[in-house]
Amino acid sequence: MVNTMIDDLSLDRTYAALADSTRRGLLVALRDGPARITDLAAPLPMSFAAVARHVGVLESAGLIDREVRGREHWLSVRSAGLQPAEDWIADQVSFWSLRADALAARLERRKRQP
Amino acid sequence: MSADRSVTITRVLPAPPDIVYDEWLDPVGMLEWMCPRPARAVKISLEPAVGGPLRIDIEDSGSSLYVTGTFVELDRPRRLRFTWSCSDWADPTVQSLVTVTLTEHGADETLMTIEHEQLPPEQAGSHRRGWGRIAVQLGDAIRERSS
Repeated sequence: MVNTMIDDLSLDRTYAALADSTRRGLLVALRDGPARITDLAAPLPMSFAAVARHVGVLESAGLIDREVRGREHWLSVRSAGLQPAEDWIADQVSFWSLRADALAARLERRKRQP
Repeated sequence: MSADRSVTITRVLPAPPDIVYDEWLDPVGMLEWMCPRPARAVKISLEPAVGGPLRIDIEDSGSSLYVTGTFVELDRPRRLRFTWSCSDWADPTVQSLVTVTLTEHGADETLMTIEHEQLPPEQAGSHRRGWGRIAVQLGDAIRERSS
């Protein structure tokens, strides 16, 4: 029960982090490889500070990693952070896939014994 | 966000659309396929009319849960649409929507599409909650680029 609650809290953070188009955009921008906040901010119509705040939200949700190299902070996607969301969708898909397969099997049986 | 919280599956079934359509409204036949193992549908009752109720009682690994819904559209043999609420969701009163679309596919076959929309944003199952297809697409896109 306690584990479930901790899990729910972290998933709430992940969910909140994804519910913003700027932050999703940052994740997509990081597809090309690690980048600094300066690099991420350059093409965006917002301040460095605003981008840094969004990065902080993504980081605390476990969606990005930060690596400090000297004075520079390099950010990269932590794709494992999206896994719970993907698992949940996979569960919903398999729910209906199993039923569709079972219906196909029933129809096959009916065909053989009209 | 509701459009993001949906799943779609398609299957080719070995029977024409009218037969497949009738399977979706046969509470006895449905016991056989509606809850494949390890889950088991123990009782299904429905009233095949727009506004009519649907209820599926399920036993899953020792626990009991049930799905309730209402038929929203019945267009034989092309389309069925019903609401879907589940007793083990965080909020069991949330109504999601299931649309089953049947189209002819070759001789005596049907292409069946099941779309489940408006799934609850927070799934209180044993340990998982989710937030939709957008995360999956994002994950795929990220892996595609990084591989």
